Amino acid sequence: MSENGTKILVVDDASFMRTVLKDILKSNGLATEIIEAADGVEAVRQFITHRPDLITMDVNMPKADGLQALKGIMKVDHTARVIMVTSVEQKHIIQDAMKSGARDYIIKPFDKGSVGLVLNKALRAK
Amino acid sequence: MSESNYREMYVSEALEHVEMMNQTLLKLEEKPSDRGFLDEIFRSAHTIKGMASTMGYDETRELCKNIENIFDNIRNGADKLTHHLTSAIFTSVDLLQRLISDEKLKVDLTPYLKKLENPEEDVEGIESREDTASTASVSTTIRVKMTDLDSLVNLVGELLISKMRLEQTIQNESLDEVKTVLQEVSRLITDLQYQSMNIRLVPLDQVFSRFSRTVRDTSQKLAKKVNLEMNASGIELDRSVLDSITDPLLHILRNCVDHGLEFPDERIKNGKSETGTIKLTAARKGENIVISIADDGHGINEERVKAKAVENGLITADEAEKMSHDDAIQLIRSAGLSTAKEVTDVSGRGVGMDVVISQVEAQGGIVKITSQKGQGTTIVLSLPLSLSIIRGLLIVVAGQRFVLPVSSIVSTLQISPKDVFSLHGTDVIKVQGKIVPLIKLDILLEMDVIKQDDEDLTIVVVEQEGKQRGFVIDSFERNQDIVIKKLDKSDSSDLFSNATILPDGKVALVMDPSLLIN
Repeated sequence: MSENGTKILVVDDASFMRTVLKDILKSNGLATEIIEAADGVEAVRQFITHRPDLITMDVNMPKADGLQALKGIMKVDHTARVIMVTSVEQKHIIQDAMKSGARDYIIKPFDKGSVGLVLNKALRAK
Repeated sequence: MSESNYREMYVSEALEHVEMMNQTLLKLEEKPSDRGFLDEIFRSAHTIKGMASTMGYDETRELCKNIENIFDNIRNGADKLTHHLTSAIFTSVDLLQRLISDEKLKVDLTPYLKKLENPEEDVEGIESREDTASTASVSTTIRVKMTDLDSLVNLVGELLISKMRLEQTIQNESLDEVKTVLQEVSRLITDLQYQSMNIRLVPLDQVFSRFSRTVRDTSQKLAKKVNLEMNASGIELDRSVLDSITDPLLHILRNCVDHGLEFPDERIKNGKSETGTIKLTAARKGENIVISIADDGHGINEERVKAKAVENGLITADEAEKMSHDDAIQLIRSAGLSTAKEVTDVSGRGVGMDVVISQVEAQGGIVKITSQKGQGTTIVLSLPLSLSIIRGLLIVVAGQRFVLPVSSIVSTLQISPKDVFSLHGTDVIKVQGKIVPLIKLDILLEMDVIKQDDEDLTIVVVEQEGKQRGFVIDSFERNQDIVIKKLDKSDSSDLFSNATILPDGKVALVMDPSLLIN
């Protein structure tokens, strides 16, 4: 984690979902700075520019999907902490994502408590 | 963020996706196996599903899940997008739209899901879509580009600095400096005016794209073949103007399909292609947006319109005989002159062209109709870019100043009282060979008249609903931008509902030509 707080990149094509997640991150005190991206391509670009401490990554997105963006970020920095955001039926994608370097996953609709747990765990790990 | 804010965000974003699904489905009908379109529609269903599950809207989530599955299957090659399936999905997307807009709506999904599974079967319990464009008015929020908001905030900041500078320079009592700062302030205010009006702008595409669906449904119902060509030329329009013309446009389009275009066999017989074409285009002309709806159908039946007008007592048989082609076409503007032989299920909803036209004119718009027998009909709507600031002519009536919207003015002229003659007891003048009745505004407004009889008359010729009238006024001043302020219900009268504040701080009433004429 950087010294001046935690920077989190929230990636989702729906601005509604980004807002919901941002509000959870703020109310949990998990992030001091939040950056957003609305598609996979923007996600990689934002990652390179801002080097966030953690990334939450939606799966279905235009331009490049979450898996492609995950791989792109991993190429830039294989230690990046990427948390996948999926729905219940998409659990099969998780395996692929984990193989590609994702740290963990959270499920929509978000449960505030488990989002906190998963993200905290990832942030504590190196 | 509060629950209601979440809901607002959810509704506006989810409805955008519904719109996208509708569009993509229409495109898929042309190219049923386009992978890009299939991905897009899958993603929209998936996104709404995610948002709905967050909001706890179970029916919406469930319906989206089913639509998502269908497209997943189509992508895998396990299913095929048939014509029946497309229609079933359209029905589901309509339901989705209703579920999103109306939080309290309770629907039994079973028949809809059954229809999705067996699209060829007749399933009971499915409500068909009500064909209105009301999605536009469901949400009163607009999404604004961050950069637009930023520049607005910037401008306000600069204005604040200028204000402080002005206070400073006034203390120094240097008139030259004050003038310089004032110039800066006025530049900032102009920028601010444009920027804030910009924020109210919505792309016309958003409304246009909704029409493909209406035309598809209408033409299918009537077994006509229609090709809708649309070009919004990237034009953006004030949200309130846009909302107000959506229904009229929808009605005109439905009319085109129902009454304007011929059935395929009839078209072939007349040497036309089997598929009719409707061209919906928009262009910007000065301060106006011009929207044109042109079909290549059989055109308005002049004889039938005339006969109907005579039957309704609008004109005499003699007048009908002498009437020019153009004037006869304009008759369809009058109430009760729907000429279609029978009222059909599609456009016969008791709404005639007269209602459509008055809706557009209520927004300061103008409607022009032209038609060629056998070749088609063209309806052109011309609308102001914005309703909050208009171009107005300052006129003086009985010593008081009023504003007349420039959009309704045909010409201004000065004539000798000798050129006024009386026709059936009404004072009229001749303008370019046309007889134009005069309205003395001072008398109409019950104001004192101090006028000599032999003085030249100043007249503003105004056109509304195809009718020209000459308003007799004292004098006119100049054209200028007018900021419209709506009068409270208690202050407004039959003739005025808007006012403005003039540069000298005085209030002037804004005239509504359509009210004055009637």
